[in-house]
Amino acid sequence: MKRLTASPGARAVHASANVDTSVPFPSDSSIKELFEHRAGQDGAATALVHGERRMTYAQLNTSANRLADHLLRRGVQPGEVVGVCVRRSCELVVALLAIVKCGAVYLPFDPSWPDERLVVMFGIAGCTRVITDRPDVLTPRLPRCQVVDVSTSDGGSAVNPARAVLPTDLAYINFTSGSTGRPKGVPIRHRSVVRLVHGARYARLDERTVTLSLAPVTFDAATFEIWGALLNGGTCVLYPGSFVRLSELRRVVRRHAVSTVFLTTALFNTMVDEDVDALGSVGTILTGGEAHSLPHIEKALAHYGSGRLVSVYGPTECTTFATYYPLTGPQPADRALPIGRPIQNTRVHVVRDGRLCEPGETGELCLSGPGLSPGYTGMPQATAQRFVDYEVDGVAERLYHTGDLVYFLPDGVLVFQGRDDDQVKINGHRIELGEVRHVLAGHPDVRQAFVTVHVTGTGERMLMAFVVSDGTTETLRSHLARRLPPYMIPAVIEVRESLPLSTHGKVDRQALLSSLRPAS
Amino acid sequence: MTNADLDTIQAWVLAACRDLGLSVDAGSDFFQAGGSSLTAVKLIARAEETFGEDSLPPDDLFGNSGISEIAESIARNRRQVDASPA
Repeated sequence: MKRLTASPGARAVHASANVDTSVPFPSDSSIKELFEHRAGQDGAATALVHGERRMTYAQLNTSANRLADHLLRRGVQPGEVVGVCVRRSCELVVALLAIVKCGAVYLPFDPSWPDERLVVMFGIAGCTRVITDRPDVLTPRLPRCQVVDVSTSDGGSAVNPARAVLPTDLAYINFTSGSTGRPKGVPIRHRSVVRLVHGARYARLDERTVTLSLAPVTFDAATFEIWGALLNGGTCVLYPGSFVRLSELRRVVRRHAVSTVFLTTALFNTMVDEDVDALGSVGTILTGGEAHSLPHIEKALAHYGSGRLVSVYGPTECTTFATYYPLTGPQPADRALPIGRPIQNTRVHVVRDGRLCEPGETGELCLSGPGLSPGYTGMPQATAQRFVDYEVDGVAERLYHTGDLVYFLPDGVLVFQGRDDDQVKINGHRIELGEVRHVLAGHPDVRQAFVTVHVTGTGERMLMAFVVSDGTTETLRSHLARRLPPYMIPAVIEVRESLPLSTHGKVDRQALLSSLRPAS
Repeated sequence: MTNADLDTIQAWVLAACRDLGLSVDAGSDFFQAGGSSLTAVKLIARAEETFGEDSLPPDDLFGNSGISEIAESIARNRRQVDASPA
């Protein structure tokens, strides 16, 4: 086992950062058990709101039990992966709960993802069955899957299924971009979800909590939005439209007294620019996913005051959030906004050259604790590279290497410094530039491809590709559309005769960006 | 609604898109000109500020994203502050 050494200074700052993160939580309980307990305790409480519709805990539990019974009678096995493609609605939550009650694993996917990508994902996850609200659309697209209509109601049993679900069982799988061209499946255990939402430090999560489900269910922010409410006796308000509209956001949070909202950094900045008071009635606003923009944070702080805004950070591999930092006043302009301290039952380590770092020293952030994924589905080598057992100060711990570079402030607060690789975030989506490059280069007419992120004059981040090819932009665009989800397709694809090289022999990104032809 | 009204609205759409960093003319498509789902949030917010709530439904924008189609949608959906008698 590798050892991480630590100087006294490094040991002290790590002890300070992790000082009280280990607290009791229901580590022996599954989502099924905790939800069924809530439904039993107070079935009349409101669980879900969607437009004019409300569902109590009892109603939600009954509907989920009926669907679960249907699935069990069709042979769903413990640990089986079941795809979910349902628009945001009460039925979506019924589907997630039903799968969990069977001891199975939900795999959310989006109908805008191309068939080829779905086939790869389902192959990796071993998924042969999906639940959807659009069986007529999906059945022809997924000939090798059993397609179950989420509104199937053949009077199944309304009682909680007898199937036992362990906290170490998997609850869901999210796919993230993979740098070598294949997406990576990140499985998450029940216990990791429970740790995220129990005794939360980053927000008050209890019976009075009203969350807003705004994130697509394919994003792990949804884990917080949905289970943060439902495992704590609170209410989850489902944003009623397909597309985010600030005026609608403003209406919905006020109408239903939403207490807690998470916005990706990009959407948060947009809100601050266009309607800073949109979330004026919301008690706690969490934001994160990309490096914060200090001017937007300052403008938001001036409006919302101290104690309502919280910076959050976390990779999918550690179940949604790993650290948090409540914003209480004007922020120093000479450094990035901190990502803060670990949330409950999560530990942080800043590592460089086999040792823990001292305050001020930049290293890679490594995370440990019950929030960690067991590893990438069907990828033992990639898993072994990122999830590593270490002896840290005499204690054996499994650490996940985030690839994020950070340093500690003297008091143990973490500051993000960037990454050392080609992974980027655009609108909250995690994208490996290598995956896009790999798919581009796979086209027979492409001799060379370079993919990068460009920040426009208005602060928006966009993917750009420069390609040496005989093909046209259009052929390359449809090539990508057949293989990648829409958010991974570069906004700009330029065909060039050759790519300029810097003196180091690498592609000269600056030269390419300065030579951009204006969009038409 | 007169052609002059539609022209005014279209001129507004062009100016708003350019303000959002897009290089567009009357024949352009919002998304092909580089508009993203975030730029769409901004455009809709600004349309609602100028033309009233629900003046540019997202389904319209995402379904028909040509500049002239966007102008037509606003013309159809905007609050009539100067409704003339029948």
